[in-house]
Amino acid sequence: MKKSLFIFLLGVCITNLATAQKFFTKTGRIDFNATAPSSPENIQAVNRTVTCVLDAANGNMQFAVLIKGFTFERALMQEHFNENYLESDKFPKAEFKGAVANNAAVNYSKDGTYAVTVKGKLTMHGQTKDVEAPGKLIVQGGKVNATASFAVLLADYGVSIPGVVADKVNKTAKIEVACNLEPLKS
Amino acid sequence: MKKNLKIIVPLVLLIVALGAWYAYSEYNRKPANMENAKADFVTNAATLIGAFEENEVKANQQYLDKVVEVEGAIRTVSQDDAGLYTVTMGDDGSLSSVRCSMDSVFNEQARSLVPGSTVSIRGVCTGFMADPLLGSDVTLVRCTILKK
Repeated sequence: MKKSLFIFLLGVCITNLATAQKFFTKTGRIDFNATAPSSPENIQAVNRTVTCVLDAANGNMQFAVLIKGFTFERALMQEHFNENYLESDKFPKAEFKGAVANNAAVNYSKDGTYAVTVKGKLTMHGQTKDVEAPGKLIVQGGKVNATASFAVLLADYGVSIPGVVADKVNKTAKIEVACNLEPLKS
Repeated sequence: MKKNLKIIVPLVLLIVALGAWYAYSEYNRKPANMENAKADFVTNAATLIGAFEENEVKANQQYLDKVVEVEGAIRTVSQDDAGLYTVTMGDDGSLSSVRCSMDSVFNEQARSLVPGSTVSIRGVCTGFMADPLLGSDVTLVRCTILKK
């Protein structure tokens, strides 16, 4: 009897450990693309220093990214992005706080690919808006690979596109997120 | 009058050509290579982290977008899927670090780094991420390791 109780408690502990797991990265990647359909040049940038934390227990997910960490191929474009559009001196960070809406469908202790929907609030350029994005979680060997893709209407965040470049810069920017999350040792 | 025109026309053409050349080179300008960039600040990891922990707004004004040369003890060297290296520097016993995202051109240099040894790294400061759970980081991008 005692032994079975012990095993039961041990089992409870292990499941608790498994579900209380947090995953994180500091080297996540975000691709930003605001190329207008007819534009001859690509207006795209990449940031490889994205911080992300995912709590397996409740699906809570957070991203933080430094605007100045976005690298463009052309220095001039990068300067305009920082100075005229996102004003990164005033608003150095963009943040997302939300959750995996269908977290119950994800088994973090079993390898597999799970289609998820992430919902939450995105803050950039000092403005906060609700966003919802389809994404994918790939659980493999105790690590989680998280990817998602969504579009943001730049005007929603108070970013205005001057008329002269309206044919080059799209009104909506495509954001692609890719993070390899490691278990957080606590 | 004709004499004046002889001077003015070539002069205008020259100005237009110079303007076009300037616009073209500006348009094609690449982000500065850190190997030959002049450092705006030369400091060490503890001082840089301290500045951001004490007053992030003030430190942002001072360091954001600036070329910073940092000396410190290597804590970790890691490589991501795309093959890019990230080097972190900082004191043992503190969660805070200077996180250097290496320029892919200098991957060879990063590969040979040993945790615990002291290096100087030059990069562009992009800001500070304060996180009580993961530890705070001052981030540098497009980094290169300075030869001793």
